[in-house]
This record gives sequence, structure tokens and C-alpha cells, in this order.
Amino acid sequence: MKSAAFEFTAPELLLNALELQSQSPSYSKFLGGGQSMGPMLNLRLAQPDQLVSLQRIGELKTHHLKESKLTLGALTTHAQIEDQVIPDVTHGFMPYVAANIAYRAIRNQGTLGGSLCHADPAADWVSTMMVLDARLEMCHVDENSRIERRQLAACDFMLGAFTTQLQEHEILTSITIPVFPADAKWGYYKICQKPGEFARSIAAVLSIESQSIHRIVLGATTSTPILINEAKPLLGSMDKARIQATLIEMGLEADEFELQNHVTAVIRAIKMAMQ
Amino acid sequence: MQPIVLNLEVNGQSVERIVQARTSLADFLREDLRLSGTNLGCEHGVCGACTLEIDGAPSRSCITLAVTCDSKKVRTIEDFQNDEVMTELRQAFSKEHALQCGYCTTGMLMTARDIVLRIPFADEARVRKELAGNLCRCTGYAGIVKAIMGVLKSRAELTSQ
Repeated sequence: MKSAAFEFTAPELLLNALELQSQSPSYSKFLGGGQSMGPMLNLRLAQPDQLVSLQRIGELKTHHLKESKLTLGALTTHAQIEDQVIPDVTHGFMPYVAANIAYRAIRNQGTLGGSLCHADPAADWVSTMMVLDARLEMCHVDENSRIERRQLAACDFMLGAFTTQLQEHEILTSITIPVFPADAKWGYYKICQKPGEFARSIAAVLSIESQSIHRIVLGATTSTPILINEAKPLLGSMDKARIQATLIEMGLEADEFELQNHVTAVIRAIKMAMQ
Repeated sequence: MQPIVLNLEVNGQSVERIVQARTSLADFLREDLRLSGTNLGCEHGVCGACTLEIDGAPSRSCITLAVTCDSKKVRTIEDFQNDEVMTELRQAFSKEHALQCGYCTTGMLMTARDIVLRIPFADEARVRKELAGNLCRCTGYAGIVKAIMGVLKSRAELTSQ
């Protein structure tokens, strides 16, 4: 239960971090809040030759509200969202999700960006950012030592369990979410045997009538969360058989027990949103 | 692998040591500084025995690398001897039999103090939820919950007077 040896650096500039990574001849990983990397190191599931900590890079800890968008630095912690140190623009949705991630001691260190990059299918932010239609900004350094940035929709970011579009030499810098209009309704339900453990199922619902947005996301599947974009009929009917059929049609792979969990989570999230 | 010079504050004292990058904060405190009040249970962030304060926030020292605590302030259980809330909690833990073997108690106290200070009006259900990240295999939690509820109650009575 002790980590294998590795080299460690903690640069203060984004450019330095990107260069350290792209110039590393060996297996190098970026370190965010370390709440997934820590256990992975101790269990020796991860044995990098080098860790480049991003914790000293101020740019990754900022946030700003502009027009109808809130941009959060990738190193925003779950606790900052829970405590609303970061302004809440989601009618309590993001603070609710944050408050139920793992345990407070984890939430004090764990980060939004780190969670997305780790891409555990049972991670709360993976499903939440999909239902919010968040945009993620990533950057890398080009051959002239210039920082190049690109953006991607949260829905396109995750490719499968623990696999994302993020390239080895890229850093996720920020996450931008839309400010909810007055009529936005949300629901979120996860099935855990014990508070804070990895969920058996996660369902997130967002309904904004004025923008014709009616989404359901089902997470904690074996792979990428399932996004149902035109979900208005399901939100209205709450028909168990119909929800189940839609999830299977969308590619959900689950045995009978898992399916029962998933359908229950979806129905409870819908009820929460529509009440 | 290159050892790293680490400067941090532990229990109010400036500390400078040379460490390996892979050394966890918990191992650094226990092995290098001989502060054995912090206990290691699962070593993957689940059991909560190693919980301590980093820059005022309860954190898991088993999955925190010591090198990531450079220029930070760490407080272990040893530093709470004269802390007001911790004194109340220690007495309540003793009164309610909130420990048996005592292995989880360090982490329980650190978490309990955070609950008392952060959520002063927590009800029992909330206390139990907040305690979900600290495992105890002896007590069945009843005494621990009772102890925390007792401290919350006496503090609420004090402030309402």
C-alpha cells in the first residue's frame, strides 16, 4: 500500500507544466487534487515515472461570470462548489451534487477538472457536466512554446471508462456552464448503499421549457454516461417500461438488477425535477 | 529518484526535511516527525483514520503526498490538546463510550470537530451522513453520534443564552 517511486515537480506556470510533460521522455502524469491519483498510486494501479502537480498554477483556480456563462478553473474544489464560495448559477444543482461527492475530507482537496479527466463512469461531475451541456477548455504547447487552446462539449469529452479526448500532453484548464434561466428545473438521484461510496447508478435531469431543453443523463454505467436529449415525453409520462426501453435502445448494458437500479434512479430524478 | 526539500508548518512549528516524492503525508508525520497520533487504516482514502487538517480543511493524509504540502499548514491531533471544541469532544467521547480500540478516534475527532464548527445546527441524520467517511469497527457509531450531538446541543444552548 505504498506508492512506487517517481519524480515530482510543481511548476507555477501553465506553460512550464505543459513543457515538462511534453518533454518528458518517460511516463508522466498531471496531478490535480490527488483524490483519485493518491489511491491509484498507493494501490500501484498507477506507476508513473513523473508527476507534474498543477496545484501552484493560479490560472486554474480562478472563476468568472460573463454574460450568461460561468467559467470555473479546473482546480475548483468540490467543497468550494458545495459551500458556494463559487457563485451558484444553477438554482442549487451544482452545490447539491458537490455536497454528495464522497466525503468532506475528499471534497476539500478533490477538483472538478481532476474528476472529469479521471473519467470514472461513477463520478458525479461526468454526468452533471453532460446534462448541463458544459464546455471544456484544454490546452497544449506547440513547437514554438506557445499555448494552444481548444474547446470541446462535455458530451463529447468522455470516450469510455477512464478514457477521454484529453491527450497525454494536454491540460484541462476550465469548465464553462450556462447560467440557468428562471424556469430551469433539475433533478439528481444516485443510488449508493452508503453515503459517499461509488454510485451504482446516477441520474441527472434538466428541464428548461423556455429553451426547449429536456435532458436526462444516466451515469455509473459500465462506460460513458447515456445522454437522452429529447426527453420531454419521458419527463411527462415517467413510464417505467418506456424509460427502460429507451435506455437499452441508447446502448445501456446492464443485467436485470443493474437495470432496475438505473430505471429507479431515472424515475426519482425526474420526480425531483418535476415536483 | 531525486529527494526533495520540503518546507511546511506542522502544529505551528516550521519544519524542513528532505523527503522522497512518493512519501505520503501520513508516513512523513509518523516516520520522520514521530507524530504517531495520525493513524493509517485503509491507505486509499476510504476509512478516514488518517484525517487531519491541511490549511484548516480536514483532509486524508494517506493519499496526500508530503511534497504537495510545501508551504502549507498541517495540524495533527497532537495540536488540539488545548482546543476548546476538541476538549468538549474528548470529554463527550469518553462519557458516551464513543471509542473502544481507539484506532479510528483520531480521524473521528478531526471529522467531529469539523461538523461542530461547520454545521452547528446539524441534526442526527446529518451527523451520520457527515460521518460516513470515517469507519469504526467497534462501537457501531451510536456512542460517536451521541457524543457529537451532545457537543452540538451544549454549544447551541450556550449561544442561545
